[in-house]
Amino acid sequence: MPLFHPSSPPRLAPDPGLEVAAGANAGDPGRRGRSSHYEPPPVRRLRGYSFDPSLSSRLETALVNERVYTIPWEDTEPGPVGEYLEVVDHDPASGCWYAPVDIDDPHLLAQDGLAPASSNPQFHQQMTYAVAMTTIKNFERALGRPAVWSSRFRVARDGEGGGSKLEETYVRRLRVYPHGLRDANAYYSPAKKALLFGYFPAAGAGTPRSPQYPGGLVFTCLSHDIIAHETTHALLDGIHPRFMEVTRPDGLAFHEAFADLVALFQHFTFPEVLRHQITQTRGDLETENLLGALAQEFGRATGGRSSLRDALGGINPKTGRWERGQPDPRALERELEPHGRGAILVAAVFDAFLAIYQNRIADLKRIASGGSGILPAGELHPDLVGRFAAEAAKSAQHVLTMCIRALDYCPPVDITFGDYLRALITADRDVVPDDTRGYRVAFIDAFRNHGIYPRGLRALSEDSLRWDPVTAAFERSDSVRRVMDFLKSFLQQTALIGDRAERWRITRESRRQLHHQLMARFRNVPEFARATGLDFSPLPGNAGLHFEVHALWPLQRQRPDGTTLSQVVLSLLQRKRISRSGDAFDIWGGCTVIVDSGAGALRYIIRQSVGDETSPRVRQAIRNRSSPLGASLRDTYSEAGGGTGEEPFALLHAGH
Amino acid sequence: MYRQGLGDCFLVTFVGRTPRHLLIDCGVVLGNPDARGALRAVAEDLVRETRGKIDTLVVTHEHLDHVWGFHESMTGEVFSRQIRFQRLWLAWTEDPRDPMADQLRRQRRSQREAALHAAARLRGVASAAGQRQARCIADLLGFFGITEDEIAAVAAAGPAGAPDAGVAGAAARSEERRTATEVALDRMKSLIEDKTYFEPGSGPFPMPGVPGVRFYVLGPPRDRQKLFKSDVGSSDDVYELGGGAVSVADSMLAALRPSVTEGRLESERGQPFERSRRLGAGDPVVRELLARVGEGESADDWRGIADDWAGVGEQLALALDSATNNTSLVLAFEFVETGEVLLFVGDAQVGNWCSWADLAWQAKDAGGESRTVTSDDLLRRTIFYKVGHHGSHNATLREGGLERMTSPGLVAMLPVNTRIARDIKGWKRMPLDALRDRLIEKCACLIQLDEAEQVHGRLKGRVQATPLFVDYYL
Repeated sequence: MPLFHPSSPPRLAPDPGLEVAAGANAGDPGRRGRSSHYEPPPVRRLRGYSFDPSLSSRLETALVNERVYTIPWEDTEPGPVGEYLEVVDHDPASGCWYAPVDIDDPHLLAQDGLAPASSNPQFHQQMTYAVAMTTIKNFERALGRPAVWSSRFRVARDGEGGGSKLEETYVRRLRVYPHGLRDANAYYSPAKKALLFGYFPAAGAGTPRSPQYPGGLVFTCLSHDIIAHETTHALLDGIHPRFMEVTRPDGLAFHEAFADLVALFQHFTFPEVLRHQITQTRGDLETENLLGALAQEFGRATGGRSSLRDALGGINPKTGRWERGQPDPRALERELEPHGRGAILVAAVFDAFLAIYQNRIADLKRIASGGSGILPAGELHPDLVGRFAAEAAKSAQHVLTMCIRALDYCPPVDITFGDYLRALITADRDVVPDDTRGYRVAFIDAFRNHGIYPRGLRALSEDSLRWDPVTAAFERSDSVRRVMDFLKSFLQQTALIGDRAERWRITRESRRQLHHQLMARFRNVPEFARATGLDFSPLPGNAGLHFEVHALWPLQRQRPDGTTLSQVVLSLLQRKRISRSGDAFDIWGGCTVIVDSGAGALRYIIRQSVGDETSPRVRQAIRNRSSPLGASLRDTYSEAGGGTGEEPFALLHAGH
Repeated sequence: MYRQGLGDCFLVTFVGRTPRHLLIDCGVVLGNPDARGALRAVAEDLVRETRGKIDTLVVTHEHLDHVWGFHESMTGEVFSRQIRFQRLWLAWTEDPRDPMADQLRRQRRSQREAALHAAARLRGVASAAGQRQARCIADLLGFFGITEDEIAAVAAAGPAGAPDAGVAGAAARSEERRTATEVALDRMKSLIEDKTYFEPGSGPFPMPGVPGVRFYVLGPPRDRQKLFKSDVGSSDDVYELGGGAVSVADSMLAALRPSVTEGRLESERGQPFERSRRLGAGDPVVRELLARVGEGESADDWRGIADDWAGVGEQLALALDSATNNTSLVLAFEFVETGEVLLFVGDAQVGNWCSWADLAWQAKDAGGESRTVTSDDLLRRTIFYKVGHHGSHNATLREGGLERMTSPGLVAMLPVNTRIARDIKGWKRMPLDALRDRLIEKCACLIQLDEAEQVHGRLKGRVQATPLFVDYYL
């Protein structure tokens, strides 16, 4: 510890030899405070790889592969341990630990953190922290509220009766293990609320296109794409914990696709890389480039020919050359494996992005080409590169924000890609009422080309894709007004609370009260059951099915015209046990309710009815049960006969 | 088809002036009830049936349920003294002089050892997940004849990597562990002089001593990608089996089992960082970090990952299992006159099946005219199909396989004992119901090992079942 520390961190286990007096932080008690005479900086700057270490050893990319991640400032303790994340560097396979990095150390603060180095575990900790925080920041901006991790549920014993109940507890930080596995794998563990990253020796010497050092260690925690992907799984789980209750092929596929999309669009926030790639492709991002490819090093090190996944196209095995992928409207019907299906959604969104980008640079191309729109041969003017890069970055940020924002407009369980398109269109319309740039059209167009659309619409237009607004009669009913009053008081309670734990506590209490209210007011109102997709029909010997108030989020979204859209999103969820030829299993259903709290109006109820046994969704669930989709080798030998097991993502991501 | 339990044993007899016998595999899985008695009964019946003379022995691949019968501990000297084999046919993957085969064998050994040590380590884990994984690995290792006792012995030898295990402890766990399957296969290799190792796409070869019959070799493929492809779905550049799994096995092994070089522990192998970076669990910095994130105060270590990495062993074991299945020798026997084909696929999985599409042979037809024969032609003319891997989901290709066997007289034999597979081994989806249903629907006759008394299909009149075997007459 240096002598002239601006303050001294109070630690739980202070080392008397090194610590000076502990200073209190007035604004933020309880954390490691550094009393300072100055305002805290708005951002923290940390160095890291743009992609992964492999690109630093290639001449053409070495210079752009290092960047500075700027993330919101927060006080941290060695780990880093902050408000959202705790990096714990335990390497059980090697039987050891690595000392935590202290990114608040002034020597590191003064040089934007440690320099990228794959031989230094502390840099690995810094890199995972920086990328995960970047991803969290992107989510918070788009969602308009603080990110939370999914709650932990555990069985707690009741004191007296000896019975047990499920107890929901708050998880403040996501645990990050940068070297948790010796495996070509990395995954999010929903049970541990942790990200586990693996490391492994590269297989073989690579290919002539991309030679590699055989046996060289590959660290998944040094890949921007893998960190962003896994962090997104955790964030998505925090928003929709029931997306893993899979009864349709799209559930896990959506998780995968969404995680890939976030990683991809974050590429466009790397200014050096973006300029470099725009120069190389002469602004045409439809040709092979690094921005559209995921996990370069991992893909090659596990024996592949190129990056792990590529949203633009791939290497034709016959010719050995890269080719732009062509949308196939029938692909979705054929492909049932989660990664394969996910790739279709990723390609569709990426195509929408490219159309938006093309649209945004069309005028620039005309200006630069004397009106023809056809750029002359040779290198682009650096200023034009800069303008193209700015448009690409803006388009990517917009598309990423649209994609994240749409999560609030999804049904709470059993999402389909078609639902997601409707969510995208509806959410965007609420925030940007007039679509002057044609973003929504670009999305509809790209999704149609890839065969992604919801069933049963009259037409595939913006109007019909928008979720149906709530009928006026229902909204005006007395009971609904009372619920709205309740939400009003809930909003007042949470309005000035900045502390995530406190918000979580208030929210949980409010969910309980809301549940109570809904039970009291609506239990016997058939209209409510219809509107919410819940099932209240009495069961033999029982009053009826339970339901849960599953989420309750107040949020504020910034509109481009400067106004704010204030909303409350809540979801109701129900589980129904169905038996079919002696086999009992669960069907989930419910709805997401979106309230415009500024206007005091109930806007949408997005339903996924629990349904009866004849609905197509339930029939699908029964079919899946007898022959699960994506049946794997493990299923043949597993005792449970399929199912996702303890770590649903561990196998999905395994590199072998 | 013999009915010894969960395993393959097929005797094909070509009737003629002198009947010619072809024996394909002989084994049962580990845990098969009275395995020794069942295999002995089969062996003794083979002596009677063939009068002690079998022309050709085919061993499709080195798994217990295909070779255990050849182990001396199971059938004594029946196969060495009472039956004389003229020749032995194997896949190129068993050729000791083939460099690629040798490399595959070494890789398999390292994967097997890694899985073995992972299972040993997981035995000591209390969590249900760990227990389940340990059981799964043990089951898969059972395919090589590695028993629970062996795993327990490895576990007892002490935690790997711990310095107190010492040089002696490490040396006791020798590199040269020979599995029961290796022993059984090597025994037959040394007993039979005339051995042929077949390449995919070779043939057609005349069937020795049987005029009018010839055979084609379809698998195993030489292409590594296909050899390691166990399942449908994953496209070309999505996660590949194989390469990665092998290097992971090595790095896991380095952690699980310190190897000994020149009497010195070589525990540095596989370490990601230099020694000075590593801290022990008792280090004050580590304790401080754990206290900071709320661990160490309570015993509730719900976020710990001490054993999660050993779960990789399960995936390694699965990868190893399917890689071995994919080395199955696949033979198609053709009656030249009628063009009818008998297809024996061993336990070939998806990659092996997919590789046949690239094959073509030049063969004279019944009229003496030279023609190009593709694997598609062979499938189309198949009238007998030995269902792969006891009817599991990835050992019978649907579109590129079963659905191309369009002969109206198609007969299938499914060597599966459902009770052993599902109740004893806990493999609930062996056989896959959807595949079985399709076979019943499609075939003129489906004969399942454990239900030979209730054969499905219009040709069931040609079936004759005894408790020991079931015969089908073409």
